[in-house]
Amino acid sequence: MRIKALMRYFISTAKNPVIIFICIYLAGAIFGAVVSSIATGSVFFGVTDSSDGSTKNWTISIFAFAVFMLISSLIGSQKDTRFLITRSVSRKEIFAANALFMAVLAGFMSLLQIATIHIDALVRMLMTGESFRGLELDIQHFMAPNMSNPLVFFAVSFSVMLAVGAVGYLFGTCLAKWKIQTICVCAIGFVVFIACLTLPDFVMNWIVEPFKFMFNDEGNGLWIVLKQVCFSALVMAASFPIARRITAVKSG
Amino acid sequence: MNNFAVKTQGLSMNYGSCKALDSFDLQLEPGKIYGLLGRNGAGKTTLLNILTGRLFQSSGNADIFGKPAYENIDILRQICYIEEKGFYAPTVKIWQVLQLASGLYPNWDTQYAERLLALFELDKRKKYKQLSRGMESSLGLVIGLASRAELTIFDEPSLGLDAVVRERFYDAVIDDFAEHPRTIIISTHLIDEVSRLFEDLIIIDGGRLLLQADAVELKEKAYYISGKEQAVRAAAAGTVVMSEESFGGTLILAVYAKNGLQQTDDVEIQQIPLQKLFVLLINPQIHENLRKGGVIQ
Repeated sequence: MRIKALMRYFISTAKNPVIIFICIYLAGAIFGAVVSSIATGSVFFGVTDSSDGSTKNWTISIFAFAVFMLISSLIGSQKDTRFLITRSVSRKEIFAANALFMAVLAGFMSLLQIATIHIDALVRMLMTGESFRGLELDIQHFMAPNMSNPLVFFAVSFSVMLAVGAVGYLFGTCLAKWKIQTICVCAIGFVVFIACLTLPDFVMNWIVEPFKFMFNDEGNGLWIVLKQVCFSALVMAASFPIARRITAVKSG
Repeated sequence: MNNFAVKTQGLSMNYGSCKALDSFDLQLEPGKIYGLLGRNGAGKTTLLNILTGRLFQSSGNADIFGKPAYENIDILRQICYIEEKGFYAPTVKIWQVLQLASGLYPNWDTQYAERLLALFELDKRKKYKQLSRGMESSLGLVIGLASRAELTIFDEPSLGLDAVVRERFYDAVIDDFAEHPRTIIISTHLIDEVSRLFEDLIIIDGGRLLLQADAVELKEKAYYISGKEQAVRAAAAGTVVMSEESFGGTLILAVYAKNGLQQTDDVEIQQIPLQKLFVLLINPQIHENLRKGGVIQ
């Protein structure tokens, strides 16, 4: 009952930012698709890969993952702790509500990703006359062979969202524990995000590569989901002891 | 069995070298309205933050209904702490705030909340960011009263409120307390105005408990005696003199009379208003006089 009340409140407060994000994300996807179709050479803001003989990009997907990581670190920065503890809510309940809220957001982001990739593929098809590619685009090259199946794509994308979200939550929680204000957490996250975009080789070789085993599955993708969910649970479990010692008075 | 709503033992809180609370011992019985008084920086808010589990003490114990509030959901759900500011998200509407409160407080009374909204003239369709300072305070009052929490704490509840709303709040507290007795702590600087609500007074100064006393008893023993010097001094015999002023031939003594005062024709006797009494009590010299007179510890 109490968690339900908290979730309702979280959703009501997040409604407007989520709508704004959807608009920006979809508009960015359409704009990107149009620009890359018009341009004589391929314009990729993210990372390309040709290890399997074809060139793919995961620009659209990486943006969703990065933004979700940023959102999670803001949630982890305990922005709501000050307010909620005065409403007689324990840190355990705040943690549980945060984790549930992140899971709901991750599910939503995954659906949005599917929609965006389809829109991107549709725009490219209309602009260039190439065949409709759907979910074969984007994050496929790290994932299971059958990522073009929307259900598999959703499950894998959702679990990866959970994993990056958990890391973001831990990041935000640590910063909050060190009395760093929420606005600074946001700024640091944004700088890290921009740095990653401008240093794709560094990201690929030093951040993604060591964790590549987490994203690969020759089977139906469920192994990826299991690995990501276990990883998320471990990271969240590591966050909790830090989160429960954050004083509401100093955060905010 | 612990019968106290609030009990602290040796409670201390340090911010670096600054002691916000220093070996603070307090015992509050359930079912009373307490006035928590102190100057700015006396340690009132720190005490309330520790009691509600928002802040961690440096040493000592703080129990609510026999247990620490920190991470104790059974205890936390019995506490409603209304701060000076609400810290709600700017875009939420009043009805959404009330919906959250109804899910958090087990004794929440929705109908009473609706009546209070009307009493304080709040439109529940308004967003939090559209509320004036006074309206924010009014929303806090609605939540604090309608929560019917076993321990309800108001920290400066009347900030930004006009006189009419303040009076309505005081009346609402008295009426609701009569029907639903619980422990209420009100921390305020508007002492005289709220004094009719208080059953007990807790006065804090410099992070220490200066005085905890029955409000009526305290008021009935603190008097101004004015008149001709000789008559005033005679009337004040056996009392603890807190302050004295003279104007021409008239002497005014502020006294604490443990055994009351006899009215005589040659002097004028008046009760000291609570706010003035508070100012006198936190004076270190007067405090020392009262301690020597055995009035306080």
